Amino acid sequence: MMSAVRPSHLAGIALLVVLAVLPALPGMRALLFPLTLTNIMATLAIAWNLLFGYAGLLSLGHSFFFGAAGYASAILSKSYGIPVPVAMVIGAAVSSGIAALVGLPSLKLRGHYFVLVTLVLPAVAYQLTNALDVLGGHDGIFGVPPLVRDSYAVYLGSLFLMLASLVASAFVIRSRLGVEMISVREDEEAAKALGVDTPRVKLYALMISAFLSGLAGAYWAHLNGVISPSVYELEKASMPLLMSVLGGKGTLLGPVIGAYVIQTLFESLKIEAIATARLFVFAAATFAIYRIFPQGLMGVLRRVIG
Amino acid sequence: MAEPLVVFFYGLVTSLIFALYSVGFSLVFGVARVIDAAYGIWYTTAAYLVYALVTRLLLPLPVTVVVVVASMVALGISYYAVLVRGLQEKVEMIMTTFLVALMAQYLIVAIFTNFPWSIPALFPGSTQVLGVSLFNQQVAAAITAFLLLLVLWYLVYRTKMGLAIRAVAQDKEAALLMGINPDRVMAFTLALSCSLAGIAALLQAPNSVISPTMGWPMLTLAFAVVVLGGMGDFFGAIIASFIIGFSYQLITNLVNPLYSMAAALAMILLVLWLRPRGLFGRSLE
Repeated sequence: MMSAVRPSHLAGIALLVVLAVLPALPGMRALLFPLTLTNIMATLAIAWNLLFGYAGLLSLGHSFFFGAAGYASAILSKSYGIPVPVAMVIGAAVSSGIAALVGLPSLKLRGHYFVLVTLVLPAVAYQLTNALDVLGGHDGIFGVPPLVRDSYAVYLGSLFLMLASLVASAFVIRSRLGVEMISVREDEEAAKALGVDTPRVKLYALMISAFLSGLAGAYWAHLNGVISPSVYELEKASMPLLMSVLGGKGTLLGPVIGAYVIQTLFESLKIEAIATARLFVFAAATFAIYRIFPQGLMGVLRRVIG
Repeated sequence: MAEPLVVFFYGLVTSLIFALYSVGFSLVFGVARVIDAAYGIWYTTAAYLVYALVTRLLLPLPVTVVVVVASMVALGISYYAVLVRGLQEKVEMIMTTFLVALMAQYLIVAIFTNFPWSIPALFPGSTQVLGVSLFNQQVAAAITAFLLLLVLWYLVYRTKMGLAIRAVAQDKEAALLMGINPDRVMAFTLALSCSLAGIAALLQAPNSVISPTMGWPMLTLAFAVVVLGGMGDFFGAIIASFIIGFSYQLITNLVNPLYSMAAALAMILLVLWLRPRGLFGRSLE
């Protein structure tokens, strides 16, 4: 993967250093929390894009995998005293396991059954977490222990999480599984005819994506110290989709660019008059980009540079 | 609360409204081959329209009904002409219709906020039936839904338009060769489905609170209905609506309303796993 040092690699490393140092500069501490949030959302978008952009599986309910791991990690670390990093990994594994359970019946069928099932998942989780006192009911779970006390360290951790997911995605895409995923996306019947075990490929793609989303969700729960059923609301489910489509689906960096653009606009558009309409603006912008420039901002960038 | 007669009656009302609503979703799938992820939002839109007309503009009931149905028909036709018509591939369809749903929902939030407004009953008061006190709104909803299902059956199975609808559902190219204009049939179906969602909202939303997200559970139930009854199957959808409607009321009354959606999802996954062609095996897929 790193066969030669290219200018784009150097630019990437420079950007990372800037991102790592910027919030530590005097007067920039206000950026810490929003940027941590951005990295977490970018991780979720990377996970979503791995599934849709490469395997062609549309998920309209990734907030479910995000939230389920958050809940699992919060309960494990708070009630059972399991160290936070371990709890996060177990939480992500729980998400991945549920993804397998849901994926087994729906992935054998055509794509649209799976999409509809993912649309239903967060709505069900919303009602169940509200109903079950074990999961904290309507108020959710408070006092979730933080990963580390220092907020700058938490920020660096989120940057690392995002980078690790990016590397993991790159690794998956360049592996045999990645090639099979792309073949499923391009033409499932043809892939089947060439001997690709398509249900298995789709299941693995879903499980990996759910695991990464779960890590993001667990990180988010420990960052906020609280997780409640509102994590399953449509806004969280639609964000990775909006970010990936805006940035460029099926590209490695697209979701990250989309996440940074949307979160930056989100933070700067906190004026009362626009605040209520901003979600509409994002949805409309994404719709327009999806219809007019299916390649997203990455596609536009490539055209400008190329 | 768990009096058998009450559960039976509310099960009946719920099932009839689900049937009316789900048939629209199923028809669009069968005829236009479109999975309309925005089908929940049409229900929400109609509910907010009813709210605006009844509580803000204080229009009388007949005018409200006419305006709501007419707007939903116009919405369905323009939705087809502008967007649905150009969609080819399944995943692209769902993505596009989902983005439409997002825009519509956030537009509703921007106009009406997230506040849970309430719509007064269009038919206030209650009636005693067999010793059970029932809200007039529910009685009216049940009767209207039943009559409309009959009309719908007549439309699909006894009229020329219905014949054209079933022909396009079977084979679009063959229908074209028989002199049917599939474009017009599909536009008609979209208009029909949107107005069915609107009527379901007219029947269900009054006497309760409305919220911008109220359509998603309805879409879930419609999805459960078509998976159970078979995609694009008219009678399958009606029978499945009764199974889902009564299970819904049983769970709501005997266990906890918050488990009803989980039960629907479990049913969806079970049927997809064991009988992916639906209970009656007549699914178009």
